[in-house]
Amino acid sequence: MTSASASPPTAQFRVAVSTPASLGLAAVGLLLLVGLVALPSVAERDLIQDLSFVFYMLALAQCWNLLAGYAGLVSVGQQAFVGLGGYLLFALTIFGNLDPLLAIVLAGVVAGLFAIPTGLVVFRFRGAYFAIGSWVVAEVYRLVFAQIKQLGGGTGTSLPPSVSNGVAGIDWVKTLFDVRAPAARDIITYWAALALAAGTLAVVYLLLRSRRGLALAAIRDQEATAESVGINTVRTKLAVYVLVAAMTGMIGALIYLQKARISPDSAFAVLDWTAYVILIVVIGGIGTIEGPVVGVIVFYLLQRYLADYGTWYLILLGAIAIAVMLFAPQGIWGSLQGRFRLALFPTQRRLERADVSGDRT
Amino acid sequence: MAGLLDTIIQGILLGGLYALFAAGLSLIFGIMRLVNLAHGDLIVLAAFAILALGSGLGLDPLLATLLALPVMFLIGFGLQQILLNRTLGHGLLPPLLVTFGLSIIIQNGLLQGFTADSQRLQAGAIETASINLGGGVAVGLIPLLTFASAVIVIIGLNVLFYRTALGRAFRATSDDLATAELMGIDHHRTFALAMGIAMIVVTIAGLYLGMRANFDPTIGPARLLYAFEAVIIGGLGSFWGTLAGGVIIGLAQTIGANIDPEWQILAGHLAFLFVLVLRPRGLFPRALD
Amino acid sequence: MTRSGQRNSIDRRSLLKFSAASGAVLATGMRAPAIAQSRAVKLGYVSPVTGPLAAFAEADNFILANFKEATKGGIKLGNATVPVEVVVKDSQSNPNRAAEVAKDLIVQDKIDLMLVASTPETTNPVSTQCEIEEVPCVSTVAPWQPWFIGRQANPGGGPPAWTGFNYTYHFFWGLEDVIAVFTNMWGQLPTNKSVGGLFPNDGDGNAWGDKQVGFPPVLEKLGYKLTDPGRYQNLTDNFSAQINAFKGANCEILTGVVLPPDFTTFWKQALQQGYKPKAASIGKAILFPVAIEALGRDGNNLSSEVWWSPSHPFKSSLTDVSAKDLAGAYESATKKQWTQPIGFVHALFEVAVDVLKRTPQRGDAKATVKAIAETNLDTIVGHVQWNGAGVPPFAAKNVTKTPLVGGQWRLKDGNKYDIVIVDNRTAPIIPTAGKMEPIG
Repeated sequence: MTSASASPPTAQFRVAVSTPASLGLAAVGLLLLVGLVALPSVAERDLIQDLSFVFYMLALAQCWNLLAGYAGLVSVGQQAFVGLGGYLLFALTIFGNLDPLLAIVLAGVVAGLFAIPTGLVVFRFRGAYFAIGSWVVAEVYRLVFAQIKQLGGGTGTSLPPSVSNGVAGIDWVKTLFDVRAPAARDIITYWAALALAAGTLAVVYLLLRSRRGLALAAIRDQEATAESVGINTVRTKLAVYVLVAAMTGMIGALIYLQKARISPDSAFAVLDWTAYVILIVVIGGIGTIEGPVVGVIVFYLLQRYLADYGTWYLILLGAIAIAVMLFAPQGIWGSLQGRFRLALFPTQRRLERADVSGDRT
Repeated sequence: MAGLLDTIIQGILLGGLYALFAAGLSLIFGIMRLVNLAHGDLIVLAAFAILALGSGLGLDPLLATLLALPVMFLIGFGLQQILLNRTLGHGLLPPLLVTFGLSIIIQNGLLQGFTADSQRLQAGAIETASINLGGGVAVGLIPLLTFASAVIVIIGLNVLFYRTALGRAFRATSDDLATAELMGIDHHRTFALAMGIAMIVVTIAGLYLGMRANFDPTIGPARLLYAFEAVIIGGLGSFWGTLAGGVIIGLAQTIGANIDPEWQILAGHLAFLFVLVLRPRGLFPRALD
Repeated sequence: MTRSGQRNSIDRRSLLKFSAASGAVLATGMRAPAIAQSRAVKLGYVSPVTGPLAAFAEADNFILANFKEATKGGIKLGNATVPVEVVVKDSQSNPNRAAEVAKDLIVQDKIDLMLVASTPETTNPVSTQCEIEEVPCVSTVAPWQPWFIGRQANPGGGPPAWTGFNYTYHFFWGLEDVIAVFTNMWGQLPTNKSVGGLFPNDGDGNAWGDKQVGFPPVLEKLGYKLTDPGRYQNLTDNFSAQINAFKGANCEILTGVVLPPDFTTFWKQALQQGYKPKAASIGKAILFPVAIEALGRDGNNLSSEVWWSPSHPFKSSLTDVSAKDLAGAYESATKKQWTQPIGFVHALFEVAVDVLKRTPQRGDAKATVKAIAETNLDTIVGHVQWNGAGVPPFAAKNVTKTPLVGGQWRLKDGNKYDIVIVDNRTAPIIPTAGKMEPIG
């Protein structure tokens, strides 16, 4: 009989997701997270506030990216859930006397519940019709909330300082960092924003690495084929839509806890909560988890340093939107990734050759 | 009874306005599936062009519109050739984002050039003239002209679309881009011509926008959504469908307002969702999306 | 001062510099720059420079240039003379943005006093931020009810539930004043006392149409019959429902607080449908000359409240110019007709300088608030003193009122309009220049 060593080396393949860079960066990421949590002990308030803005815009961008970049649902109506979350925060704290942090979580749950019937309506539409249809639905939300007189109708209403300064743990933070109530409130909302940003990032990442993630990619690339290999496309998309709505609702609640004033026109603003979010995702790179992170940093820097130029700033923003789409449709991260095969949050399955030389006993 | 009749007439006339706003959108959406978020701002741009030509040369709005037509045609042609053609064929997002960028640039460019002041195209006594139908129902001349213009524009687009060589190219590129290319149609140029023609319709819409009420650089997006709704209700590529869509939204709005003014705009949106849930491709789709 | 300024701390700028240089995110051991003794007094000013409300801010550059000229030598605080710095932020006519820039001014620019003007959409988010951040704020150019009641947790709750504010103060007029002015003007004409009301579902419209504090209760008391079809959404394209209701009730008087494009739509449609009231007194829509010119010849004898005009017999405490000269300077500097916000934005800076001068303890919010509360100043828009005169007890602490009269737009040669003051019974000190005329 022939010995095992005589048989030709057979190639075996395994599916890999992690990259060497990603494993090393997981450790760095954990350190970064710890550092960011501890940041209020050394940072000034302006930095804390700016980072809160960065985090909640990042969370929104991550949500929209999951929807459009992975599930292929290009929605122009995510402001519906930002506004819904914001209004729920006001209703739950003013009339329900709940703690604002608890109200944020509840707002997410309720927004998710609202997303089920909403999804059933907008899922009748496809492609461009879905984009416009979701926008119309968001307008319906705005016009309905404008009629709720208890929440100020079209005028809007303000969160009383007793609520916004009565967040759980505020006294603890005040003594821990030796700051006044407004600064302590900022630190708590900063942590909440950080938690939401990290949370959405983790949810999106884990989802995409799961079987559901594979199904999503299949739907995005070729819906009919996905259906034919046994993926329930409607259920998968609806699940993503509801999940994103719940996360978006929580972010909306947090945003309006910080703003302390809500009105239908601001809460359901397509420009602030969807158009700029789309811009962030596209600048960074749609369909990658790293893209929104890059995009939000660029957007923040633009706004921070140029917003005082008024009309010229907005013209520049418009020009950037056009330029990115024309010259780097993959976004900044997408272009870098294409060139250097980078992936901090790898979700792609790669076939790797695992050479087995002979001995197979 | 007269009240109900008046509500219906006003609703239909309002629908004419929305159809006029939507007709240009219907053309380009039908031919190249371009979701043009800058459409409202282009209408405002046209109104400012008419205003500038009118006050610069001392012309009345109608003559100024005639001068603005070729200018806007060239703007549309150039915009499509240089910018928008490059966004097509890669899904929904590129045109969405590029036209969003265009929208901000037009708004703020106009703000820079014309300030935030309210403007208006003055048409004199015709503005408040009306035809009395008896029984307390009167129809304003301008709304009537708006509706008539919408119908004429739609007839014109239909003739263009179904009776001319250019229209054949439009239909061919709309139905099957690859085959049309094989047949020797330069689709970039075809699309640029389509956008130029859409800008002519936009200029007519701009005239009525400026004659009926004040406009300022930021007012463009306000009616963009109604225009999209009219196009989608009507069905992709159907111009008469766009008119029907406009009328449905106009009627829903006036009837809603009659119940409670709070319901006016909401009723229009709900009518849109209702129609689309029943018929996801609109009422009279000509082409497949 | 809290200890935070003395701790080891990093601010945004140094962090950005640092991260740019090294790519790191955490850094310790950096200090915020020490606050020098001679630092400028900082005023923050939020106004809608861009967006649909931009007309309100059109005079800003002119006023700010005047202000810089008047304070270029600095202002006297106690024994020291210190420079004044104004940080201007654009709200983009967007309440979200207004709240954001207010936060920036407070936290980043560390302003000593916030100033904000022009419509509840701008004043309310900014004032709300200031109240939470415990930063003193003076606001104007919004009737006090939308400003005060609109910021309550439960705007429908009524006086016992409404509470005053600790850091935010407002000067302008109130609905009771505009109601008095309008009814006085209508009283000059023989009418059937049937009034049609056009109130949108926004900050102003909800306040004007409010069943407790708005037009309805007062009109009823004065024997007017109000037809109010209900709130509508702004930027509506068709007003046939309202026009039919007004025609049905034979409303010889029209009132409301309407956006300029909406009023043009309404007025043209009303004239087409054969509805022409004897008097039309409208807030907001016909505030600016360009808006009335947009009506062509159909704007003649429309009436409006007048909060400031060149014929107001007041002068600036800051530059000593009269109302007439301020308006004239604006017209020659910009080649545009004067507008009412000019006086109030100017007055806002007058109040700011007056308050600062009486606050030697710079940067002390409590002291600044005390100085605001003790203001007693004659400005270019009238007397500003938070003494509760003419204001209900629940708002007396935070609100003071300036005089309001009524005026009518009169067509003069061609397309231009002038506003003529026709009723001054609410403020006899301001001279009238004519009598109320029916629309005809």
